[in-house]
This record gives sequence, structure tokens and C-alpha cells, in this order.
Amino acid sequence: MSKGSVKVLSFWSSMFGLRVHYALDLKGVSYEYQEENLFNKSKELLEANPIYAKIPVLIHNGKPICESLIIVDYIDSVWPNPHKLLPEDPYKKAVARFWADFGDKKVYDAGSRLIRATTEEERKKASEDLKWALMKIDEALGTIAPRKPFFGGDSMNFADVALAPFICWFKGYQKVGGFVLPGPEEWPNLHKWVTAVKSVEAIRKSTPSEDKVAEFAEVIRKRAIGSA
Amino acid sequence: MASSDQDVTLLSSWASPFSMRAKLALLLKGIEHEDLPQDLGNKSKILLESNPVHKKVPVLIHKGKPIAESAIIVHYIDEVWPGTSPLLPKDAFLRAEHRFWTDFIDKKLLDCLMRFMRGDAKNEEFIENCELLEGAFTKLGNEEEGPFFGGVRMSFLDVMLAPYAVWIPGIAGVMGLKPASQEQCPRLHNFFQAVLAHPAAKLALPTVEALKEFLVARSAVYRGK
Repeated sequence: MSKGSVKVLSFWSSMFGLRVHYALDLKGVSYEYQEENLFNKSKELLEANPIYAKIPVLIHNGKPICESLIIVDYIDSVWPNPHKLLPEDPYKKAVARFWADFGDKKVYDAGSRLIRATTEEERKKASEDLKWALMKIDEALGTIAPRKPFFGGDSMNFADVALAPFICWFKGYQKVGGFVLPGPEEWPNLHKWVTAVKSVEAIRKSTPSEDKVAEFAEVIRKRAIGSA
Repeated sequence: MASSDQDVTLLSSWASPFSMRAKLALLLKGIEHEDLPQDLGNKSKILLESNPVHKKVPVLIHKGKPIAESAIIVHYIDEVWPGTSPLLPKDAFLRAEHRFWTDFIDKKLLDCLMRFMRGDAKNEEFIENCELLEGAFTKLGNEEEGPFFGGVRMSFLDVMLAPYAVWIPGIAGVMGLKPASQEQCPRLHNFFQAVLAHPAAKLALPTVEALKEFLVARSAVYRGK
């Protein structure tokens, strides 16, 4: 369904960028993809996002939208069907927004600190924080959608799309930060969720290889230590 | 929990800019609610039960169900009570802009103010952020219509920014912050004046004097000591 031109500026391993790919792909929206070199940002990116110069950016009919969750919200408004991501019920919508936001505030933050940790103390704290955050997600899945694979029940919703990109980074967190994901006996809901997300064709389409991401995590770490 | 004949309860903290946003949204829409101020140094059972993940204010409890995070709360209020004083724009792109600038206020403006109070940020950085907000007014607000992003009435982004109408003068009075002048940021200046004169904002926001006393008492905490 064409609703004008759609272009995505992003970087292959970015969790934030993946959210945008997932939203567009789940809805079957065609788009042009431009891979950005983060050390040599395109003029287009700098003009589209002058305040942060960051990816992802969605350019729809020439107008830029920045910040991944804001982009996903926008995509869901412009292309509500198929696969509506935000629930109609205001309370359920608020719950979905909460867990998406939790992904940024707690999961991403801890994961980022884990990879960039320069001391054992920093690494340990980041690892504990990441574990706590993922445990909360396991609990939330059990409360919000008991016996269902996704936050959205039988299909992925806004919260699922926001959190799914972390899955391809788990190997990187392990390789670089020594973070070991507790098994399904401890976190049954999270593991069921991971399996379910990985089985979605639209998700597989843009998800990079976990090994490549782990290698990239190593690069980030080396850079962080190098500049410490 | 909330008394049986109250549908809406707000767990609040009068000095919190996040709490002020929720309060302002409720007042703008004329929603009757019970306001339960919280002692953040000794968190209540209701707070810990309704926001177990973050244990923070504000929390809105509607028909027994809790909603946390100020932007999410204001979105919720706007969706459940759309008739009076609509806050989010109808256009999807404008909504994205309101959300972008809300994120900017939290990530850049507030972060800068917090670091300034700790002695970790320069006044210049704060002024730069104000100038960027001035740019937002130019882009999103119609000056002829009124001082707010929503024109003559407050919209979502106005509610998100309103608390800084008292926080900025508060920090200026106590910690030597130099706010952006009317010459530097005329639209921002007019916005803050309009907020201070707005009847709902007068109820939702503390006075600058009260905030100054609060900041003096808490200055050691903010300096990170």
C-alpha cells in the first residue's frame, strides 16, 4: 500500500534502527534503505536530524521523523493496517508504551554500559542491571500475556517491536561482557518470547547475524577501552 | 488504595516536574481526582505497589489500574478524556514533533539543568538548549495564534514544557543559572510568561518561591554530595 515515499537511514547493527525495520516489515510497507557510515554521516542524515545527527531516521514524503519509538508510533498511525502495533484500549496502549520505554531506560542502558565497561566493577554492575531488567521483562510477559508468546498476545505489538532488537545482541553481551542469559527453567516467559520472535518472518528479514553483532560489540569495546 | 468513590488518583510530588505535567493535564481537562502527595524518602505501600518497577512519581491510578511515566500518563489522559482540551495534535507528523521535543526536554534540557546544579554543565550549554527550543516554537507554533505550541490553548508539548516556567527561575534564584533573555529567546520567554499566568498552571505548579526553598534545602543532594 503506497502512501508516498518512505526512506530509512540507519546502521545495520543498531537496535534502534531494527525497531523501524521490524515495524515497516510487519506491515509490509516498501521502503528505500540507506546504510549510514557513522564516521562519515551523509549530508542527508545531518539535514534530517540536525539536533542529534543520529540514526534511525524515517523520511516520509521528504519529512524526517527521528527517535526510534517515535518513528514506530508514527508508522503505526500512518499505516495502521495490517498489523496494528498499538492496542486500541488506552490502558493496554499505556502498558505497551511503558515496556517499550523500559527497553530504552533499563535494558539498552545496562547493555551499553556492559559493552563499554572499563573496570571489573563497572562490568559487574552493568551485568547485574541487565539481568534485573531482563528478569522484569520475563515477569511482565507472564503478567500481561500469560500463556501467550508476545506482549501483544498472539502477535507482536509495540512493546514486542521495541524489545525484540535486543535478542540479536545477547551473544555480543556474552562475548564482550560475560553476560550469560539464565535458562528457560529460570525465565520461561522470556525464552518462549525469544523463540516466538525469531520465528516471525518479518523479523528475520532485517535481523543481522548474532555472530556479526558480537564481533561488532568487540569493536565497540576496544574503542571504549582505547579511549578510557 | 484510592477511596471507593474516586475513579482517578494521582500519586504526586509537588516539586517534581514530571508530577506537575500529570497534574496540569488533569486540571486542563477538569478531571476530578484525588491527589495523594508522596514522601519520596519513605515510599508508601501504594506507590511501591502501583509502580514496582521504577518506584517513582507520578503514577496515575484509574479505576484501580496504575499508569507510570509522565508522558505516558498524559497520553493516556488525552485518550481517555478526549473531549475537553485535546492535547495531542491530530496530524501524525505533528504528533511525532511533539514527542520528539518532549524527549529533547527530558534528555537535553533537564539533563543539562541537573548537571548545572552539580557544577558539571556550563550556562552556555543551557542557553544553547533554550535556543533549540526557540527553534521549535518557530517550527511548530503559530505566533499570531498565541504563545503556546497549541496557539491560544495548551497542547501536549506545552504541558510537557510548562514545569520549566518555575524550575528555571527557581534554579536561577538559588544556583546562579542565567536564563535565556527575552532578546535571545522571545517565544520561549512569552511561553513561560503565559504559563505563569494560566489558571490551570497556577494550580498545578508550585510558586517559584516555594521551589527556591526546596532547592536550597536539597542543594547538597543535587550537588551529588
